Amino acid sequence: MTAVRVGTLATRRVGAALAAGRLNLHLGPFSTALQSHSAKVTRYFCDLYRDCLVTLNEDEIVDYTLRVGAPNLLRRFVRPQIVPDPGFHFPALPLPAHMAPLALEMGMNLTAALQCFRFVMFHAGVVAKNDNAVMIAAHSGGGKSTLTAAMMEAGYRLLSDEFAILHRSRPVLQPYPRPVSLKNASIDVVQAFAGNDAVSTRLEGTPKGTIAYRRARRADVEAMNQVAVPKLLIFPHFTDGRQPGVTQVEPADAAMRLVAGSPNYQVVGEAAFESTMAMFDSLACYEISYGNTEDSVRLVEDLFQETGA
Amino acid sequence: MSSSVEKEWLWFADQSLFSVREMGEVTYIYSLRSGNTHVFNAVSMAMLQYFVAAPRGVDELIAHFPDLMGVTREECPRGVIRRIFGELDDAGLVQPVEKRA
Repeated sequence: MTAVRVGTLATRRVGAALAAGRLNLHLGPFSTALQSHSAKVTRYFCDLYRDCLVTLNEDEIVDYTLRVGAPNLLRRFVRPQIVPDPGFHFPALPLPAHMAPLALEMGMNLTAALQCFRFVMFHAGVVAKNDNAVMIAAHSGGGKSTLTAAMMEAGYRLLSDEFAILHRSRPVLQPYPRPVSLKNASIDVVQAFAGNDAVSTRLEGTPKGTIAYRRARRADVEAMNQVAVPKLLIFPHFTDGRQPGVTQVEPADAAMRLVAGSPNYQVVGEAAFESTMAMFDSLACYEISYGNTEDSVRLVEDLFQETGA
Repeated sequence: MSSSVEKEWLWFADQSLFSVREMGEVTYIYSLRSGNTHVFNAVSMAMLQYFVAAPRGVDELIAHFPDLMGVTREECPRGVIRRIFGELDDAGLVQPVEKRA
């Protein structure tokens, strides 16, 4: 079956395909068969993934499978819960059913992070301009996603909010443009410059506080097969009200920090080592500190210009 | 590892079992046996190369390493040399290859 954009399909048809487990998402380098009976998953998927390509075919060979549903039959009805099931054992506490979008996104992260061996994966947001990429690496809550979303508004295309996906054979990054995960105060910040339509309904009371998702734009999705060359690696540090500052990071130190955040570096082995080292040959690495989003964007833009990209 | 074990054996670093990449003032070593990536400074790297060149004993290493590094024995005491050698062994980068005659 020819792939079609989610937005061209009726919500009811997407829901039926999801329930039957014959909806295959084709995004970046991965195809994922999704299954869910949750109406919330259907609505979220139709909205946030509306520009993405899917096929409706249960016989298709895919890279990953992901079921998002109740942990057992009883929990579909009694204080309903939802949990991602990537097809292998992974301990995950069930979430209240209204957090279905979070379960879907967590599951999508799991499927790629723990089953991908074709690429080297690093935990980082990635944006690009003219196919030169900026990697944004931070621990959870460190400002990675807010800065990634802000750079989108500054004219950069989104490659990924969650993973820098490095080819094994050459130092280029593969896009995987899924929604950008926003938490707490960053939701208002991103909504203010991206607009209400770009951001999903808020999920209150999640384990990480309030969460919402910023949709990947049509242009980001259309460029999902267009690799980018990493030029700049940023470690952001947001502290409310802080004056902007930049500190250069030794590539050797930056490499170790990036490797520490990789879910598959050890498994991919020597190819991961060689490709990562090759990437650092032409990568400028900085820590930036800032107290507001405007400063963070300006700092990254200035550093990006300095790379000559 | 006891010093008697060290003394009984010649040690060798088989460079087909690791990849080396220099980055700034440090060197990255990827061990094919363990899958671990190690960050080496110039001293550790010099010691690794000492054992790449030929199978050698730890006594020889202790005797020659200060000269190799261009420092005095006081600046490069035996205990430090043994500790760095132990780190190479723990990382699986040097192996005993033959008993001394």
